[in-house]
Formats: sequence, C-alpha cells, structure tokens
Amino acid sequence: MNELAHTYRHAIKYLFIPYLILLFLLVYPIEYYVQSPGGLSEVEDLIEVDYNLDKNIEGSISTTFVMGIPRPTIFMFLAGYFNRYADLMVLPTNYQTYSNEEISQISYQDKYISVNAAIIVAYEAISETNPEIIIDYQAKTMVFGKANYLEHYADIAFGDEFVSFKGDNDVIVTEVSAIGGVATTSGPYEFTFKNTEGTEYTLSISKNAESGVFGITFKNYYLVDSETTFPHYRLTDSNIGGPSGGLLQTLSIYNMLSEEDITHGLKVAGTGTINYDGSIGYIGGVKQKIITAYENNVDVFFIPYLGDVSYDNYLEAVNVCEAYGIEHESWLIPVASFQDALDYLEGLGD
Amino acid sequence: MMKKYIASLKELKQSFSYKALFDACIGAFVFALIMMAPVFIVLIQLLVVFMYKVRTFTILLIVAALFFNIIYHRLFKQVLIKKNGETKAIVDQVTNPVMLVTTFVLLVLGLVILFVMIPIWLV
Repeated sequence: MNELAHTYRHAIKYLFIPYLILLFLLVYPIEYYVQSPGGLSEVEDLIEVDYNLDKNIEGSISTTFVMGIPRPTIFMFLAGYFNRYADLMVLPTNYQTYSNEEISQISYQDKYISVNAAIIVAYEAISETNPEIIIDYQAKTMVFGKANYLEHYADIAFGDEFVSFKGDNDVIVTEVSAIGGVATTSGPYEFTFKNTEGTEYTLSISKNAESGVFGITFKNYYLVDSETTFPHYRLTDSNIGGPSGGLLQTLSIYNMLSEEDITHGLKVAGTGTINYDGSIGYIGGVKQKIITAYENNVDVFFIPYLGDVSYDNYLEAVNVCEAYGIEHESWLIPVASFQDALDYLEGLGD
Repeated sequence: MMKKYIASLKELKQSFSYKALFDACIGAFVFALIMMAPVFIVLIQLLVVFMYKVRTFTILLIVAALFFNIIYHRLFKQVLIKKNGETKAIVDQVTNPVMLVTTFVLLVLGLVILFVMIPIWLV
C-alpha cells in the first residue's frame, strides 16, 4: 500500500480536495423531491392465480411506475435538472416529517391495499358470470400516518391494524370513527393494535397539548381472506410501491380468471387507482408515466378521465404528448372505470 | 498449461512473502476502489434518475466493473514489480490469467443481472 501511496503522492495531494467535494455532491441529501420516468412492471410477475393455468396469454398487462426520489443528493438533483422528463419540487409537506424509509413503508402499504382492492374488484366482476369464483374479504383499519409528536412513535408501525380503543369510563370502541365521542379529555387512553406478524399490543397515548389530537392517521381498507377465496393466488414481494397500478392489476387478474384473453396479443399498460366499486381515481406523475409508456412502445395505455373541468389526468397526458411531439390518438385511452377499460379491450376482439 | 501456471505460482510465492502479497492485494484493491467508487456512485445515481434507461446504465456499470478489475490487477502488478523488478515476467504469468478469468466472471455476472435480475427486481 505504501508503494502506491508514494507513487501517486502528487495525484493524491492535488486531487484530495476535489475528490472530497465530489463525494459531498454524491452523498449530501437535500430537502427536494425528484420525479422521473421509470418503467413497466408486468402484473403477472406480481400476482399468480391458480386458475386457467393452461391458458395462453399472448399479450401483456403492465403497471407503469415512475421514480420518486425523496431527499436526493445534490448530484441526483442536478441530474434531474438536466433530465427533460423529470420534475423537481420541494419535498411535499406530508413527506417532510418522515424519513425516506418511512416514505417507502407508506408507499408499499399503498401498493398492498391496491392489490387487495384489485383482487376484490376482479374476482367480483368475474364471479357474475362464473359462480365457481368466490371472493371473501374483511374490513380493516390501519395506521397510515404518524405526527412527529405522537407518543410511542417508534412502537407504532405503518400498516399496523387498529383493534380497539379504551375511552372514558373504560368504554371500548372498535371503530375509529367512534373514538372522538369517548375521548373527551387529553388522556392518556389505551390503544390496542395488531402488528403485521399478528401480535396485539396496547399503548397508553395522550393527546398532544398543542394540536389536541393523538397524532395518528388511520385508513380503512378491505383485506382479502386468501383461505376462503377461490381460486387461490400468490403475491410476490414487490420493490415498487404506490396505489396507481390498481386499474391494471384489476385487468390482469380478471384476465387470469377469464376464459378469453383480453390482451389480444397487445402490450397493454396504463395507470389509475382502483376503488372498491370499480371506479378509478387520479394519479400523480402523469408526464413521467406517459414518457415511460412511450419509451416502452406500449400498444394501449389507459389513463383516468373523470370529466373534471378543472383538472384531468387524460387532459394533462394529451398536453404532455403535444409538448413532447408524441402522437397519442392511437394508444392513449381515457377511462373512468374498470368496466370502461374492460369494454375497450373486449371490443378489440370484435 | 495448468502445470505451467502452478509452477509460476510457486515461483511467485518463493519471490514474495505472504505478507507482501497480501499487502499488494489490499493496497491495489483500496486504490482501485478509491478511483472507481465515485464512478460507481455516479452511475448508480444516474440510473435512478434515468430509470427508463435502466439497461443502458446497467451496461455502463458492467463496463465500470470491468475497468475496476483491470485497474486492480495493474496496481497489484505494479506493487509487486516495484518490490522486486526482476520478477516482472513471473508476475505477468500469474496475474494475467487471473485477470482474464475475473473479467469473464464479472461479464457473466453482469449479463445475469441485466437479463435475469433486473426483470425480477422491477416487479
């Protein structure tokens, strides 16, 4: 080692400071958010349904993901600046109190809820024509947000299930909406949660003196009971988070369950969250998703079009296409519900 | 060919103590890493920001890994030759085949990452 240090002593002497500056640019995080195009992710790789196993699906159905980079390094920020498809913004307010790891946890939780919603909608849709299909699910309430002043912050994890709350006069409620009626003082009150391993735990939590609330945000969702649902399915661990793949997940699961191949050999992609009634919801990162789809040469791209006069994903997508000189008439398909997308794909076979 | 290589290896061991070989190995690795670490970090960060060009940046990372390998072996040889200039031929005979093999292994690993791991990872 000494021989090398001696041989390159001049280089070490003159390059040491620039080297440190370069490392600083590469590791120092800043309070910004970079959003850039990502890629396509085939839903078949995420979920496998034990049904129609000999069915040959000629095309593909993929969700579209974008890269959301909270707290990028200075170098990443500069790279994003020179990426014509990237958007740079100040770190969103709802992310500012969370670490990057917590932001990822929230994102994966969103994805998990989205996949469950997709299974419910697809199974219910196909069960109308195929009585063999059974879907069973339960309502749950989970921890979706934590204020930085929340007591026992580290003990409560995102995604933990709310079980019960012991309020005034030891009244126990199991609905989050009932908590306000039985928690009239600042506490402390006992919350009982169930973690992802299924273990219940109870914590005494007081309201924050300044805000007058406990500092937990809950979200209601439905979780599929995989034991009683038929056919069975398997989920693969995912590296991509967020709820915006809901519509495409629903279409793909429906395709796995139906006799007909609704892809008709096409590369189908798109974006849009899925609601339990089959309607779809708006998503963010329209520009990046359109560019991703264009770069990947998709044949059909579904995008939410809810007819809102002030803002709409489809209208924004059209603007993006026009701004970047992308022809969109043949592949950008506006839809308001899962049924719209299904009707479009089934119509291709006529 | 293998016998010749083993003979060269024995000769190398006679010319250098284990401590000298270990020192050359660690020194070359550390210096190669100092040189190439920023390149790797830059490429990884560019890959994240330009994820839609994931395959292009993966290929660049594979090329960077091959460069790292070459730099490491050149530095390793440099240290040994500096310790004992008369052994240049024997050092070449021992390290060149190793460099070729490791280059080939890195290339195969890179292709596995490119065509197998990335599609699995992007789920």
